[in-house]
Amino acid sequence: MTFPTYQPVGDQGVLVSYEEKIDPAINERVRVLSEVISEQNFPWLEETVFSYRSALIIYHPRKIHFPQVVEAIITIERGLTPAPFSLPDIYEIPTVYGGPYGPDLERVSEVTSLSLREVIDLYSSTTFTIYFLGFLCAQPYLGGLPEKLQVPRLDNPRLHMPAGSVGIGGIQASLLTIDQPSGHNFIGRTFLSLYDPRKMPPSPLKAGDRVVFKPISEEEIPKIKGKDPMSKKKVDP
Amino acid sequence: MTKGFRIIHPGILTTYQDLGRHGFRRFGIPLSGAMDALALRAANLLVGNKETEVGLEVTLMGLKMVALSPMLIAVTGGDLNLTINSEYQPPWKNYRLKLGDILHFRRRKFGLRAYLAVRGGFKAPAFMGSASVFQRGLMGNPLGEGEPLEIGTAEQRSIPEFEIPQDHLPNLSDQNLLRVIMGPQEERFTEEGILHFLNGSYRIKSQSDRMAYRLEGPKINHRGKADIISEPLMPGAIQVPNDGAPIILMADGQVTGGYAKIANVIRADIPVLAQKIPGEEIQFEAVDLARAYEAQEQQEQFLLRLGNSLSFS
Repeated sequence: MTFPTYQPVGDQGVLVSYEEKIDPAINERVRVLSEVISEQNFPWLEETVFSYRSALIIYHPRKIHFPQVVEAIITIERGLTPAPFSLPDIYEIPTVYGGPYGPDLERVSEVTSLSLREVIDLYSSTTFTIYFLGFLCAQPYLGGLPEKLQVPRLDNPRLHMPAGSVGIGGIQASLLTIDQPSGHNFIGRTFLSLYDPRKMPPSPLKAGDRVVFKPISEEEIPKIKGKDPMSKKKVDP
Repeated sequence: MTKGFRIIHPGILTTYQDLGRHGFRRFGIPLSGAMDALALRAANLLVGNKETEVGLEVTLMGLKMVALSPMLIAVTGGDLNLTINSEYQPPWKNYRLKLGDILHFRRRKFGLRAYLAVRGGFKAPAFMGSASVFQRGLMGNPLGEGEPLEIGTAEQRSIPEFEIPQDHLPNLSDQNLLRVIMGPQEERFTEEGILHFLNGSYRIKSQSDRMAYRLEGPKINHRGKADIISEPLMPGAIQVPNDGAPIILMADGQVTGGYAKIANVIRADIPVLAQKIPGEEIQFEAVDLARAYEAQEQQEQFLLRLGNSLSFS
């Protein structure tokens, strides 16, 4: 098969898909494609959304039909140049690990045969990349989880996990922006504000940014509670 | 700003809705908005509003409120046995209310969601350009008891009394067939699974809400795994998890998802689904894009005619 492919999504969408894998270069391409299309001010464009390897282009069917949308995307896709290199924002997310904040830390330790300390050290020394914001309410999809820390999801998802929970679900790392049910293994929690619908954008985090979950003690929670994540520094080229 | 209504009883679920938040799905924010957008658009036109004005979405039963000033309202969508001062009033028409009139949506007779528009529109808190309540996303709450509802001021233009005849409505009230565009992961299902999907009858399960309708019926089997790499999706998407039972995403549905999708319900038929209640059965019919566009165009023409009749009569 030649990529990308172009498929109808109902009668209002075109799904542009690249190779079926989670890969930073492919993700970068769908992000740039999505952004460039959004910048064109096409009168027929409703909006664009992208994830790991695909972009959804939503159009107004009264103004254009599927074949012409595909034609317009192909022209842009072929002319796509890599985004000018920019230093990603890196966020340190202060995280309280274990205890009531990380109910699955022991399970992760057992499955991985690492000590509690080793799980925390490895997780907190990993720099994760945000592939995109999705699901509900600016949920970041994080890549870069070390293989040693990959732990299958729980058989019975918990019905309620609080916003700020930090964890592991299979090959993905997770950071919850709102309270929700989840089957991930949660090992810690941050108390920063990660989602505020009164702000634009509703989350300061964005695709391409990096995050590190820096361990803090329980006593430090009041200092960070409700604050916005701060991009601490830029990564050296 | 004028006083509109005071809520005597908020009902099971009554929310402010407009046509949703557009342009924020890249932040993972669902579209939201009226589940039956056609009905809300028509209700707004019936009171001389723009189609995009904020209305009330009344679910199933129970909303009771009193008018705090004279005003023009319209009710469309499902028939929830609305009474005004104890007298039954059918949907799809406008009414002039007097101060003190009592509206009561007693119990569903037909459909599930009624829409109430008021001339001037409701004044409701907006998030990202829309007043559509999306509670999980911390954007508003369902109406509560005693809550005062305020309405905006409208331009001076007289709107005639108007009722849309049943046979002019674009969707048949007994329609159980939902038209779909197959894909984008049709190839991930067995031939038998696809046959089941297109020939079977699916019952709406009780765990259905503004986010998604869950269905049960003939199993839709995958060739391999149900999981795909998470990708963007939109209302109308028919996801099929491992158990082979389809889930149709609705207005508050997530913007990205990791289950294979066998098809998408066409936009024109989403209002039909929005009026179905748990226990009812639906079937699917695969159509091509030309038919989907045509079905949507018919609804647009219906709304255009409605708008024109109200401007010139």
